[in-house]
Amino acid sequence: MSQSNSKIVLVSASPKVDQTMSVSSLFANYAREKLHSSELTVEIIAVRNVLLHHETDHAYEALQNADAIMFIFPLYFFCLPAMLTRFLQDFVAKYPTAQQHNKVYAIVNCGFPEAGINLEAMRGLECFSKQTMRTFLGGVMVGCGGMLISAKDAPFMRPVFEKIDHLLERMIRDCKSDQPEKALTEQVEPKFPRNLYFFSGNAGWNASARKNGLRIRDIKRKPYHM
Amino acid sequence: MQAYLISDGEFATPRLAELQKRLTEFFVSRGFTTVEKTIHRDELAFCRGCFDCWVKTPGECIMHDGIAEINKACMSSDVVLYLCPVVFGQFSANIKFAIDRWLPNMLPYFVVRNDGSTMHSSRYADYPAQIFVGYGDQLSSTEMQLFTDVSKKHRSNVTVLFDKGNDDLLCAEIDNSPLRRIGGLL
Repeated sequence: MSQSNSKIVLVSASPKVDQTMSVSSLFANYAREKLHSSELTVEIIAVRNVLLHHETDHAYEALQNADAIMFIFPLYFFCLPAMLTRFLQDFVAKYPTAQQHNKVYAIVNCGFPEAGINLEAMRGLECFSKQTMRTFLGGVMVGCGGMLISAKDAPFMRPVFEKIDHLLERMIRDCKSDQPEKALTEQVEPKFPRNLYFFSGNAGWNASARKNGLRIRDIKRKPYHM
Repeated sequence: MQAYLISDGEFATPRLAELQKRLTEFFVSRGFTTVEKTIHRDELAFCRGCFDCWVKTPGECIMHDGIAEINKACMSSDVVLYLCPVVFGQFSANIKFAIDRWLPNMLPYFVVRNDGSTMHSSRYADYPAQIFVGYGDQLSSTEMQLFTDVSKKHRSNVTVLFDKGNDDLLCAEIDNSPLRRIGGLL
């Protein structure tokens, strides 16, 4: 039986300046609240702050001492955002392998409706885990990231949080057991019509441009046209 | 015709220098002018997902740290070749800094491709051919497959190759790739 005060580190890796608009930050805070009820030590590492304030020493030590790590981040160009790659590349340079049995989970969200496109990012973390002698145990891939903040309390969002709840419950069970459950990566999208998601997304870009004093046609400028 | 060669200064191994030299010779022999760019640590900021390049300064990143020159050179080239260290089966950090900040070169709007997948629509009528040459010490088949999938699975107009220590083979593979600008969906 593992110790009851397992250390969990939630790595929140959205590069956004305004973290209140970050899905990763939303999920990280949600996970901390859910995990808090059990006898676990939970710490959130906000990668953006850590890198910008040169506070990687503490963050890397926390990762190295963790029993379980959950990476929570947005998909950028079908894989890890550069910011997280930099963070992990430097981490591995400092600590090439885990010093103890260490479990890795992830929640990845993307702006497109298809949650499945997050798979390569999950596989990237699996590669990281294997290289550093950690155990990758899967996670949740989330689609329609563009609406997760504004509509987080809507009924159609429930399936997303249910999947995350299942993942967190599994993580807790794994921390309390000598043998973690089998790795599982699931995908989930809000129950929302795809066409309506496209329509509202596209309308949103136009509205933002107008707010910035642009005309709709300005959005299609070609500054590097040959 | 122009070929733009991007490499990662953080992984400046003797092998990288050999590859840069050999590939430059190859492109010159095919009638290209070549422009080389080595991205060093902390040279570029990471994309912060503000989307101002879509709704405030369309087509251009608002951060002025050299990405404009890189994107301009990319969009003025026929071929962009990335000499890319493979890290966790993905792009190394410095290369990914540049890739993430390719975002201004597309439009925010969603489009559905023939296979039903979603993509952003094109800002330009055509784009350079993109070739990713992955390299690293003893890459596993898992890493190579992942690097291929990350680069190709969701995007058109991309070639993925690996340095296996054989310059002639690599040049032959590049020669068999499209070496021209290509239109259509991204």
